[in-house]
Amino acid sequence: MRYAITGSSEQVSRVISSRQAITANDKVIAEAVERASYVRAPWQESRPTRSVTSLDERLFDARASFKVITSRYAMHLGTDWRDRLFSQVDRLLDADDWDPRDAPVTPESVRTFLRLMVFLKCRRPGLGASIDGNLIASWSTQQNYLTIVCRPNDELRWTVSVTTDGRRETAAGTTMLTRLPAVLSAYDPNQWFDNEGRATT
Amino acid sequence: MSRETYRRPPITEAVIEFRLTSAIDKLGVDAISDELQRRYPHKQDQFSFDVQIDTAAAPPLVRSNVKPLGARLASEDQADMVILQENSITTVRLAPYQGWEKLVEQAKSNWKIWRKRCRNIPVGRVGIRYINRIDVPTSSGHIRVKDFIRIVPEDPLDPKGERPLTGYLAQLTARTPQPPWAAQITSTPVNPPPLVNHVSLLLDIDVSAESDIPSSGQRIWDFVDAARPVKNWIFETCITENSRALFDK
Repeated sequence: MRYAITGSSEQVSRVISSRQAITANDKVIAEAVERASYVRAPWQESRPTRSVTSLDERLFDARASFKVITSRYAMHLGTDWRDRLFSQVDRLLDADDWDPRDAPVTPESVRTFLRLMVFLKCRRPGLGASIDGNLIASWSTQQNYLTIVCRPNDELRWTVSVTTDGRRETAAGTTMLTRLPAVLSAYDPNQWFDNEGRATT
Repeated sequence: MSRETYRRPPITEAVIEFRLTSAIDKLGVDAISDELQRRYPHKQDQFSFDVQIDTAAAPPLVRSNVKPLGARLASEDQADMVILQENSITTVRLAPYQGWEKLVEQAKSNWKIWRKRCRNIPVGRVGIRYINRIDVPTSSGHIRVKDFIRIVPEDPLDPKGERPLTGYLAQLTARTPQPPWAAQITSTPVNPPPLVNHVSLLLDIDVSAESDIPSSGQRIWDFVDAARPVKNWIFETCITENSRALFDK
């Protein structure tokens, strides 16, 4: 039997990643196709395979991916809000300050983060990243802190630290994006989300 | 009905493409790409892959042929792009859309660089493509599509259009009343919708001409400008007041 796949590099990698053109039990073929797709053209200067990409390249890809994904939400974000967000991301994903053992931020986490931002219509948070490639959004007001780890598929890991009647109270949990306002309601979440710098114009 | 600007235009991608009747050689493509890179610093080479697998052999025999296809160049914020191939140049603006004038300005700069290397090859096609995404808020997850877009398939089982549509694809290709422009219009839901508690509808308008195309000078831009009212007319005809209200919200 002969299989043939023709197309641009993006089309081929899409076919390979979805394995749509290859039956599941043909592992040998799948691996062969995958190897073939990384064949270096004679005039290609860099990046012969994904496994040997440098930290700079991986972080560049992560920054570019973040910005392209943001374009799908940009009509719901103010221009200034978006520009400042990009400055934050450029600083966060800078090779000089990045631990090479950490995974760059994943597109799945970025998607959850942006969906959260448009959903909450909130002020822009501080940004960080977890070692496994998830974006961390954080807000603080006076002595009260909220931190949210944006995991793939709208899952959020949240941590709150507030001072009430002179006593420190902390809480943490995991929830889905749409449940966040209800879950945080005991801590007056508007203290973090409401501000002049709204996500939408 | 004629509106040209909205506070929040739903355009996710705006494109101006010129296609030649024959290809430029690879050296020419590389030279154009190098010059464009001054304005679009991030370059990714594009390849065409042809992979053949013969499973009659043991182990399976894999033959692959990788050919350079061109380059994709992007601005620092990835919102402005040029896709360069051996027979075409495509200027792309992703959201946030900054208006027709800005898009044409970018396309003109790219054209100048490109045309120096292919002056003798006629332009065989001009395409103006706008991909719009209408994000409709809903808590139920269902909307009546025809309340927002006027290109919807007719459902004979539900003539009033009350039944929630979970998926459809409507596409029509036709000449426009303004020759030589033809249009391909596509409407389909975006699944899954990008926004929480929304249904998103795609409205893809591709206006193109394959004849009477001037090849140089100001005349090509007068020609491109003539497509603007055509694509605006199609857009405004295909949407409803409910959609307009969303773009101005």
